[in-house]
Amino acid sequence: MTELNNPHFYNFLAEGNIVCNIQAKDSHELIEKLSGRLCKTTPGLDKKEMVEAVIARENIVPTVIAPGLAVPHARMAGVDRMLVAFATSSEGIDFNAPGMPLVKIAVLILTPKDDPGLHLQVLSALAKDFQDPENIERVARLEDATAILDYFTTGALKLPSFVRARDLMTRNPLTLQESDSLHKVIETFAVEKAKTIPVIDNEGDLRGIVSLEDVLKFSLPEHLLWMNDLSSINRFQPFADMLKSDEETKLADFMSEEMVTVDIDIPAVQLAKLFITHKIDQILVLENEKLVGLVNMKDFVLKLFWE
Amino acid sequence: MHSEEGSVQLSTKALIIRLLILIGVSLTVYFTSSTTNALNPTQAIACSVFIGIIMGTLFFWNFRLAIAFIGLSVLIGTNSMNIATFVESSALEVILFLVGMMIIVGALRDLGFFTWIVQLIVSMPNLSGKKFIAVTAIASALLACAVDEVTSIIFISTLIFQVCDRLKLNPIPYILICVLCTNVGSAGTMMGNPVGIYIGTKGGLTFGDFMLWSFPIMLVALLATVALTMFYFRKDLKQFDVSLAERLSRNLTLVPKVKVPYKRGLTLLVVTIVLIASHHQLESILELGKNSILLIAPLLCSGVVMILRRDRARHYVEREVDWWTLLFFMLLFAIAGTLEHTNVSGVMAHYFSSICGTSMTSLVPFILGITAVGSAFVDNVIFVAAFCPVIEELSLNIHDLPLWWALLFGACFGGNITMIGSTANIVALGMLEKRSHSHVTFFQWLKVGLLSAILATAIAWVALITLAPFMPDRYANVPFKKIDTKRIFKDKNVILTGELSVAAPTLPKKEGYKTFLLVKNARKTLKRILVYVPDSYNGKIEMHKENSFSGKMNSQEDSRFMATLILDKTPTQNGH
Repeated sequence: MTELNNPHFYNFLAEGNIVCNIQAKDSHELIEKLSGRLCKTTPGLDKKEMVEAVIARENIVPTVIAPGLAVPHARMAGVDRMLVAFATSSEGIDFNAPGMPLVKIAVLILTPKDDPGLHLQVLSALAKDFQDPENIERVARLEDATAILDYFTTGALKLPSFVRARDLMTRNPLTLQESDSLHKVIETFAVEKAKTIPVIDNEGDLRGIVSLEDVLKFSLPEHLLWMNDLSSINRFQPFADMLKSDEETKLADFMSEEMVTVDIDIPAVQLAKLFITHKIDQILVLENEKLVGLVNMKDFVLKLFWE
Repeated sequence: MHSEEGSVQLSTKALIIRLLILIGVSLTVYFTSSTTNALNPTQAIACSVFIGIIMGTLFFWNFRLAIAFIGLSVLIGTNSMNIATFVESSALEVILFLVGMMIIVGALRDLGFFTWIVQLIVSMPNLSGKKFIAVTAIASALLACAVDEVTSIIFISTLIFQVCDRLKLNPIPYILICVLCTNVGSAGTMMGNPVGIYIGTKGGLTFGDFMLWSFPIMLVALLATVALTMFYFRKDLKQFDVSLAERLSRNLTLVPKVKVPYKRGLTLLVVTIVLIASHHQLESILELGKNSILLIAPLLCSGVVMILRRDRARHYVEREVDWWTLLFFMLLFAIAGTLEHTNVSGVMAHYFSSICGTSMTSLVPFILGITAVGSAFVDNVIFVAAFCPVIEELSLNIHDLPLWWALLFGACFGGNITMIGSTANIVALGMLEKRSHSHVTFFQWLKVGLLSAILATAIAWVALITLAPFMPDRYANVPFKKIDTKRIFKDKNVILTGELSVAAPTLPKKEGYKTFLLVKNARKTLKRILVYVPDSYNGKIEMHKENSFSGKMNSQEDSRFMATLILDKTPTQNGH
């Protein structure tokens, strides 16, 4: 992965690739138009291939990374450096992202096939800059390409020099309370997809994690696990019944306190190492000692190796 | 298997303060002992390094192995010890005994033996708080006798956590009662505690000796400890009945009933114990050296286990054997060997007999008290390793059996005093912190620990003093160089090796005995012992040839010879 030395977003942004108040009825039309703009300014690009790749990516998961901000992107073989096209819309364009408002700023990013990490840096820088919805409104209202370019040069939107936990994590993760009952925990696991869930206390401080394995462990008395051969016990039902009829056990009684936490600014390479050495698929991300998000191994791998 | 206790991060300041105290005390020991001429320079160095290592393990428990490594290097570097002594005193036989036992414990766990015990206790009929804790505590103590105290406390603590989890009780009182009883129980056999097998090896004690003398005393002390601790925690035990009744009223049991196959595990344990128990008889039949079967019995059994359970053999050796602790013990034994090598133990033995004389009534409580207090703060293995040569030295002219027991009881019972007194305490507290996130404070432990230690030690004291006259006096191999005017022999069974010559007619006669002189050069002076051989003695006596003679020895006032020895009718082969 290329790691840039203090790169700025405006290094990649050409005035000719900026479209103010673009008119498009949906994301596909917007991608068409922005791709057309890129092909005009950069010779040698195959517009059809580009549109197909970007739309294919968009169809998997919408690339809306912040309210009002979409970043359609793709990797392409014929591209030798990162290409960026920028569009604003005053009315907003529907990207089909559930729970997200209409997109007012769209940034199309094309990266060389052999440099999958570069766009993550751009994404991360944009997400950080446009975290405040007011910024999006402000840029969306700018009248021409020069003003937009000015915004980025004076604001000097800097790309981070490497990918960090904050760029890879899922914010506001699902949590459980220390005082939640055993039943509530099992129910949560049944409803949600999560394999492990962070546990917090009344004050919101992280206390531990709970996984289905912890529930299972609680059902089977430890002294039975000492035996190498459990073939003398056929019925698991009594253990399951005992667990089901348990009403007073709280999550704090069986959660695990052995969890892997990292600071929000930790580089991706260290996350990778933690995934491997601790044999875990989820790392909790802390900011000022409070839980702010978590990085899943799947997201990590997909973002870094696939997108 | 044994979880390493949580490492406490020391601040740099605390680290430096502790290091300075350590070096300060170590140097003080060196200067006071060398300036007062109590010890010669080599002995002073050996002593100060030894004290430094003891304090090092106390202050920096997590780095104890590192400290032992460095300490050993310092001892060899200062010529307080050489490689040969190091190898000889590292007690490889004891280490291998423990390795064998740990492998057997791993197999027992695999085979469901411990599961069976836990299941038996949990599914006891008519369970009540008192019954549960009394049975668990006694089971824990007896399990400690059969395998070892650390293994026992690991399994019993798990049982307690399970029951307390289900009943939503605070596990601290239950854990405390069981740990205190386990420490008491560990004095019952030589398997109970690493110090047991070490004392057995050094003192030449057999499994039978332990069963005859230490096991019954341990049982009395155990019952007293169970009663005391149950009384101490009586309020908490009442809560057990309330919670249990409430749980049973909702048709919930403590644990589902399952059938646990225990026969193979039980067979393995019984075979091992029988082999260990019959070691003395086997050694006599096979004409082997003392305790040779004892020390190889666990190796033999674990070897068979590793063949029968081939697929698990590597797991047993790598995961079930606590190599970290064993390595530490080996180095401690070696380090304590320096005290013997530089004859510090001789000086200590002389010091002991000069303040306590040779009477049991003062020596037994003295050794019992010193070891108990010492074991409360430093690893009892260090203490016992340092004391064994002293007792060996004392055993030359003193009726030694009660002293070995005093050392054993002091080391095991003293472990109850503080929370760092024994490995079992540390392991149990580590589990407590990890499992139920509750902490026991130093004083919370000290109150009940000290009480129970005082009770158990007092019982051992009274029992040893009462039983001492009934304990057989064993034959001590006394080298001529150890016979001098400072050492008083009084009706002591000894084995002497020297040349026998006909006595001059002027020497004292004794009715019914023939008089001879036993002579040998020791430290370039000719030492003579007057030997009385019964007229009825038919054994062959070769004159002017090295021979071993056993009998009762008494110090002699007459300046022409050091002592008198009345030869037994039948010379005994046994003795150490």
